[in-house]
Amino acid sequence: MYQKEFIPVAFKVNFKSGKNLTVEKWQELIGKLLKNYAQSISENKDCFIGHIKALAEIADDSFIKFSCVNALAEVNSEFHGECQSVDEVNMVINSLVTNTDSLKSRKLLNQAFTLTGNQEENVLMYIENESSEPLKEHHHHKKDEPCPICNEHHHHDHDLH
Amino acid sequence: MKKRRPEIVLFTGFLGSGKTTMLLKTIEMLADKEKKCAIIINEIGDVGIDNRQMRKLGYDVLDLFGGCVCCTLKVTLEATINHLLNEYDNLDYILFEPSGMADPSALYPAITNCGYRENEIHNVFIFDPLRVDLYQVHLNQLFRDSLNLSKIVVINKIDEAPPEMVLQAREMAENIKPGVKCLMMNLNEELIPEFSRMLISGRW
Repeated sequence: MYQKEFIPVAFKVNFKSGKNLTVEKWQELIGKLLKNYAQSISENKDCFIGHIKALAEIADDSFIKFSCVNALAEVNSEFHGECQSVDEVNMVINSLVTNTDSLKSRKLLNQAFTLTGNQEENVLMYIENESSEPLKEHHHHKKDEPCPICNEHHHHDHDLH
Repeated sequence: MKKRRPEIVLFTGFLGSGKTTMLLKTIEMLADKEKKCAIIINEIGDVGIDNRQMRKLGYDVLDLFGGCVCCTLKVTLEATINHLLNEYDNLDYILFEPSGMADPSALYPAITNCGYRENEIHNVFIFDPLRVDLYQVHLNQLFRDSLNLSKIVVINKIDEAPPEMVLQAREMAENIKPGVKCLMMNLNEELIPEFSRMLISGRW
């Protein structure tokens, strides 16, 4: 069944540059990274890209959304917010690819980064351990109130926001 | 007086077809017309991208998180819809984007259990013509099931796909569901007025 063939993999990624870079530059760099990542995945004929999505946070209310469904096509990206230059970007990548587990994805993402050729910008990428930090999700109730959606059938092991 | 139930609209389609983009455009259009919408999103994986994007754009989103809605979260979907129906008096629309891997037919019982008839579920199937081969070979059953449940088909990415692929996509849809309304769109641009009219008037 196709639902079981696509393996969901998510990474939190941190980029740091030696200098402030414009939104356009981050968009170009990350777009190139994701393109290389998609191409590396597609080199294996058994791996099929369902969807690779990423959200890069420029500031609290400014972000770039990336989307890629095919290694041959361009990575779509769209910026929302106020243009500014920053030296650090946090990003979440969520990919659904067949025959590509987390370990393999991480390796391919690191390989893809080395191919981006960003010597001039001196950008470093760090992939955080997926399970090292509980991710904040959103609930429509306070911590001490019963959940109206599932009547306490979900876990409260992370903070509300 | 009995409360008017909000219209329920599903944005279905395979991964990467443009569901989130269409949902966002629809929200913007409805907000312009001062309609009140609830947004439900289901994403696969440990970390949601679409829900984060929605929140950063200022929207409040109900997540169905941690698995595919058609496999593991049916009960949560039903509870979520009932929660919206019971707690929000003035909702005009419930907009629901299931995961791109969800089988739409598996979602319907959760919705009909909330009092909606099948023909009241406005299922918009978003079709990426660049993936016609995938639908023909690997996802044929999903494609048939999705189409048979859909009220309209949106053939997206008409700016990217070669015209012959767009035509092929349309023919595939019409062969499986003769007479189905196919709307051609580039969802990176505006929604076409015909879709907005259908949604606002309720005449699908």
